[in-house]
Amino acid sequence: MDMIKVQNVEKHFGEQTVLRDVSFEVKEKEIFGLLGPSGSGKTTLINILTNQFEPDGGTATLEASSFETGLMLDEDGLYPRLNCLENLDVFCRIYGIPTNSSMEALVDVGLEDAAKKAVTSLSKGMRQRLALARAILHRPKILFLDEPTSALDPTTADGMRELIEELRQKGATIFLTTHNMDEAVQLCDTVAMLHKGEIVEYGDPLEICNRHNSMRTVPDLGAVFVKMTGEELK
Amino acid sequence: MSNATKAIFIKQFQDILKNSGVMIQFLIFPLIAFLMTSVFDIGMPGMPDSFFITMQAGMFVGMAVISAAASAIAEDREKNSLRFLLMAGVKSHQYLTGVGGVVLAFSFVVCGLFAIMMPDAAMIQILLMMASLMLGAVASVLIGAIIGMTSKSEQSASAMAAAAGMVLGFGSMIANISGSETLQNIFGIFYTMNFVDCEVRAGEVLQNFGIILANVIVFAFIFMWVYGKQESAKRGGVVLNKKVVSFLLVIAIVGGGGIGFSMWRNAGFVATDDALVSTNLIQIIPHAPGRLDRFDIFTGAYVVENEMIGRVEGGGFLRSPVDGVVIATNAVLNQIVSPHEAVAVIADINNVHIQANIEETDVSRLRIGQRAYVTIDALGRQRFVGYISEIGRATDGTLSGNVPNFAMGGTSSRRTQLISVQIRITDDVYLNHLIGANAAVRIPLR
Repeated sequence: MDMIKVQNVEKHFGEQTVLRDVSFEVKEKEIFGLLGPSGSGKTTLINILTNQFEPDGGTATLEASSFETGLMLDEDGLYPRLNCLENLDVFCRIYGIPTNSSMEALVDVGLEDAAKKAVTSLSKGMRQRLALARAILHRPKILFLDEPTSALDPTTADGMRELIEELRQKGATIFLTTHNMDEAVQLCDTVAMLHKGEIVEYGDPLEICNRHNSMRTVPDLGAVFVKMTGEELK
Repeated sequence: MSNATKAIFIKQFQDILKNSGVMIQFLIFPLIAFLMTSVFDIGMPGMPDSFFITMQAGMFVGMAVISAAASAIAEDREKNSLRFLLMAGVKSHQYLTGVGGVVLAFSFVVCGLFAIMMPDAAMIQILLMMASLMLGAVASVLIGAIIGMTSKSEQSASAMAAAAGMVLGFGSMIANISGSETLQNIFGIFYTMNFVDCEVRAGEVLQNFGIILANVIVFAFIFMWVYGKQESAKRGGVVLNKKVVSFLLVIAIVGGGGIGFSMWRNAGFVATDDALVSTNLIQIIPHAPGRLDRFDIFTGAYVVENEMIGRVEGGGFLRSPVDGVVIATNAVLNQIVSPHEAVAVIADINNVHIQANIEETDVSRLRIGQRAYVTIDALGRQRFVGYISEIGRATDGTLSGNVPNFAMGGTSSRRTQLISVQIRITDDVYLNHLIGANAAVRIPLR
């Protein structure tokens, strides 16, 4: 079953075309990676999928209501003066679920010991995890993660990846954006490579690497991207 | 209340409690009012005791409330928090109701503090004052929301809120303090100049509430217009509504220009507490020396015009030339009196007025017929309206400032002469028993 279906989506901001004829599907319980450098249109696509922008052309459909989607963005949008539990309680009340779900979500992301700490006193990694806790608070069917490991140190980033894998095993469909190709190979069942608003490659990451003879000792999606676009990713 | 509105309300409540910046803004105004009124007892001539309380209350509603609402909304937008709320299904109107509701709830508590401080106020006066302040707070929340929704960042929202606060809160305060009619006319259209205080007369209450309500309606329309624009824009996108910002800027500039112009032209008011209840004093002097063989009056007695009050043996009757009250008797029956000495002093009760001593430097700014406000120490903080009936030309020689010491050749200062100014009270008040009582006078310049 396709949880996300994007067909021929176009988006322009003034004269600039941000997305051009973008199409793909994301299946249930799949981890889908949208790969591309900064400015390639990844966040715009997430905004369209989460109903914050309307596409100028094409359609983007989700098999889930707004209550069944979770969102974690680069900018975490946390309330700095409130503590971790209070931050999550706001959303428990909005969703109409019991506030003890907040603690469960904090346990899921390993932040239970920081429950009473104000957000301002948290490290960047802890804030990311709290943002993820907020995204999974109501056990959404689809989880959108925008660069979930971008600001994290390698160890914390590994922990975050394990968490994402766990969430998938619990039944969530995960749509993530990243410019970390190794992460994409490690986590994703399907990837789409976005360059200047167009999908230049799409499919299973290993198959893509094979197709382009880009297998190092580990599969090297980065090399594929350079081959396809002539540009480095970072 | 929907789940979402309740959630936002609780979140905002917790947030404000932990936001020291907003809490300071909320508490500083009642604290200053308390210090000025109760601790330091700062008084100004002719001003009621509640003056600083009503002034600070007006400034609180016109400044702190706008700023709190604007910064809360702008911060949620800038930090992207609002986007997550909208994503979670919160509607814009639920969000704004929640945030505005909390700001109003805190405002209610603060206005309550002001009300508690009001000296000797009746319950109905306190309720009217609270009601006018809270209605004003609604207007302030609407203005704050407009600023919060249209500002690019929390910083620019704070700047805009400060500008609006300068016009509405500070400007009204200046207009009140200066007593300038021009300023009061300019700011009179704003709700911050129309809060009901204990001084207000019954007939003015309806007008005050009418103006505040009109402000609420106008700002509600602007708010709805901005809200409509924002809603029709793509959700989550930050839209800077240039028209609204320009509109608010125009208000700020026009208001600021008005203040400057009026202050330049008028520069405030003239006030003094060197004043007393006075009247014409008539000395009753015998025409010829002789024995006082009749003397029927005593201090405090009322006499009517032409009433016989005594007789000098062989020298004729002593009569009062006016309706008056005897304020001194300098002779007793059978005493030998002469034309060199008054036997009695009678105060003319048809001519009771306030005599104020005004510094010569201020007198040139006064003219006959000008409105004046008077308080009389013996009558508490009640304020009476009157007009200037006479401005003295000669000084009475009283000195003000440092007394010079010519003999010692020490520091001397230029003498500022005091000039007597008469004020007739037009309010219906009985002052005959208060002749000689201290008073304070405040004359707004126009």
